[in-house]
Amino acid sequence: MPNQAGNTDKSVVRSERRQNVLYVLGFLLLVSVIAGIAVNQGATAADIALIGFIAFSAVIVAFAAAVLLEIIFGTINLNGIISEPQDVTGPDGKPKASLSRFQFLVFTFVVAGLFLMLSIEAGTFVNIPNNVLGLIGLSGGGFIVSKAVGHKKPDAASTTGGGAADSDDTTSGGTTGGGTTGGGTTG
Amino acid sequence: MSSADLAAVLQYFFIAWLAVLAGLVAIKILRGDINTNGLLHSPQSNQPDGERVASLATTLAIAGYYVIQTLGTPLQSLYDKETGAYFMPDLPEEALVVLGGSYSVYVTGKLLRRKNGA
Repeated sequence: MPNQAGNTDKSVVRSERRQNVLYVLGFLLLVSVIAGIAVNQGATAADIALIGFIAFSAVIVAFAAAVLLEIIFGTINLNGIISEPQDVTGPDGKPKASLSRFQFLVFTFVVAGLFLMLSIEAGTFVNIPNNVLGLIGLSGGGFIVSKAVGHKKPDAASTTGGGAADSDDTTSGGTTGGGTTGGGTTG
Repeated sequence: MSSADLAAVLQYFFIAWLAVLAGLVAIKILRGDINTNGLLHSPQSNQPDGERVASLATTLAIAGYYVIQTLGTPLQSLYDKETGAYFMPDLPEEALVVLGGSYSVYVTGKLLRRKNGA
């Protein structure tokens, strides 16, 4: 029975791969046909570049719009965007929010939004000063350090009885054996 | 239609995209869909931790300061004639020091609480 199931899975994967290859080939054919028509009509290099620009823009806009729509319709779930992993809960047993994730989120939105607005106003990309890069680095670094400090070792959980709850940004490595060498508390 | 026209449309699309994303996150936080439970508590405590409150306040203060500073600076003053490029407004080094100190206190507090099992 397991062999049959495995064979079925493999054939499904193969069929999907074949379908994907066909899509890619179809896309390349479409591009070739459009390019052929354009050249036949006497299109210049600038016209072809514009068509390419429009095509790539459409793809990127479609990606961005799809992500936003899926967030709005709930297919992409943002509810845990600043939450700890499932195994880290507060005293009430509910999942706990992470301060370092929230800080990282705030700085990302602030710097990205201002960069985009200034770039639009200036009509060109603006340079980012070193101190602002330092701000992003500090924020990201704080997030990483927080994860490292809160990293749970399985032995610590069993010996202290509170390893999971001790961490703020415990990674899944804690439960999958990422820290198997440790014993006792990590302080 | 030129590529410049298309770029103009795209740049407004992307600023709108980022604004909608930020708005969605903000609305979900305000509605309680995004979990903020225990943001200021250590995992085993019911009371807010001082270092967490200080760290959050520092973050919001610096982020707010930078937004206000950027919006209040005319574009002409962000132009560097030597390099011929525009720059985002600089952030004072003091702000970085304060933020670094705040993070350090937060992480130290976390380590100590963990060590003491509190």
